[in-house]
Amino acid sequence: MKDIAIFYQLCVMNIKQLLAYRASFWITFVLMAGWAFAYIIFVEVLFGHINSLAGWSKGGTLLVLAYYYLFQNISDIFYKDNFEEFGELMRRGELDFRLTKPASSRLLTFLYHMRFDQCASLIVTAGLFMYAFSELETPVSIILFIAGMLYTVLSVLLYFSVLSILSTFAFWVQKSDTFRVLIWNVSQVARYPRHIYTGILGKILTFVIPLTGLASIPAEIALKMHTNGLPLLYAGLTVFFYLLSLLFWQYGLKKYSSAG
Amino acid sequence: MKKYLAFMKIGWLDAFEYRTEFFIGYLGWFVSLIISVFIWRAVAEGSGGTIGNYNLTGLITYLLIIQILRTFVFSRSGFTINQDIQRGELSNWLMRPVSYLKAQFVIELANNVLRGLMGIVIFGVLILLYNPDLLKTFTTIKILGSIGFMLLGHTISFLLITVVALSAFWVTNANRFLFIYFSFLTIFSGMIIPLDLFPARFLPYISNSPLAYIFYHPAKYIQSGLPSDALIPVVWHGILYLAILILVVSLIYLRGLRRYEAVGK
Repeated sequence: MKDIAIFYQLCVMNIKQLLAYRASFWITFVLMAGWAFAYIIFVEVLFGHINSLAGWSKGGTLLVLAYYYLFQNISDIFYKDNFEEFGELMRRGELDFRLTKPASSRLLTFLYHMRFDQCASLIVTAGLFMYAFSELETPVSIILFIAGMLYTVLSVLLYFSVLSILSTFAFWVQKSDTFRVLIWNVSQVARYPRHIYTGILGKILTFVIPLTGLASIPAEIALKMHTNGLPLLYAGLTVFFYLLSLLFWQYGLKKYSSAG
Repeated sequence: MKKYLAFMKIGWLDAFEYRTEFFIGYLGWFVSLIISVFIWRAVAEGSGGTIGNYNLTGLITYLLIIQILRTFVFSRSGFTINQDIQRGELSNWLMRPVSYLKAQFVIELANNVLRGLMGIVIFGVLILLYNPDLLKTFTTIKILGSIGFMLLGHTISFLLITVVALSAFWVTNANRFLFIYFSFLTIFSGMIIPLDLFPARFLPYISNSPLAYIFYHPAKYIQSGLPSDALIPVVWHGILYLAILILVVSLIYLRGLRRYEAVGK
């Protein structure tokens, strides 16, 4: 309960910050539109040569892309910057101030700076959803679409846990700016339908570092595709990874020697 | 010249100093490569084995060459330039008897040469294993030509990102503009998709843009060489872009310096 109250206060603080820098909202809009445009072109070029990508139509592939941007947008709003800046936070010794406050250290570390200007990205993502729907041969039922949206919440939590594990390594690797690049590259796995990842490596990316389903499973739910109980398995994996990331964080903290 | 060689040395030392960062960077590129291989394998399966003028071996070879190029031609200087202007650290450079932009260029070039050599070793081995026939096509002229294309690609990459970063003189923080630039770079430079797979009606515009000189033209030259009648216009266009960009960067930099203010430096 106390954590929820702190989270609420952090949200209020960050919304006030957005109101002070309103131009950020529109710059974010242009930035997100640039990336969405780039990957729509990529999908269009691919489907200029094929009719189906590992069993997915163009509309379905675009829907995966839309869900991908949805969970990315939410993570950008609430926590992504904190993970990217974690190494710097430690290097400057500012982490100490967060650790000594009477609240969850992980909450104050990874949910401290929120980027509500990133809400502009949601407008672009909504446009991407509409474009994906227009390319689908059969319309998506509203209930299933909402179910896909709700499942995205799990994806956001799973993604948070994976990023937390990756960032915790910064306790051992002091200069961790490069984690930004790694985080960005790793998250790309979720951008495409999970069926393209085959063989042992595909299984690793689906079950060991479970990122391939982050956008694919919500899209499969929305399209009512046969998922073989994978959504349930992913829900279990989300809980497992969340607990693992928490334990790893606590272990990492024990190894942390202050820079301040 | 001597002072810029000293900056090159700094670039090398910097690359050696942050070895872990270096290897994590490679890990990221590997992840990116793996994703691309999976996509293109699925695309090849969906299209019956050939995609445009490529078969799967050709496409994966192209992607491996792109990985080598990424280590050498990709420019990150924009972030440094943006930060120096934003934080007022440019003032320290202006006091020195060196050109700030030239110094940034040579520091990054030295850094990228080291990355590039590592890239050739790592991804070259993969090419050797995957498509050994490619190595048989390398003659002395092709090796020199490849180095020339890579240098041209790196310089154009540096100049383009510098144009974007110099907007920090007016907007204080150009970071987001740099990421907007990256979105266009990703799709229109040949980094994730060979440009000759674009629809034929767009190809002349896309393949003749300056972005195409960063990845697409160097990769195509390394992969298949180019007949001299096709090579000469490509090289001339590249040199023309280089001249125009040097002029544009110089003009923007000089105008920006007139606006530049820093406190307490």
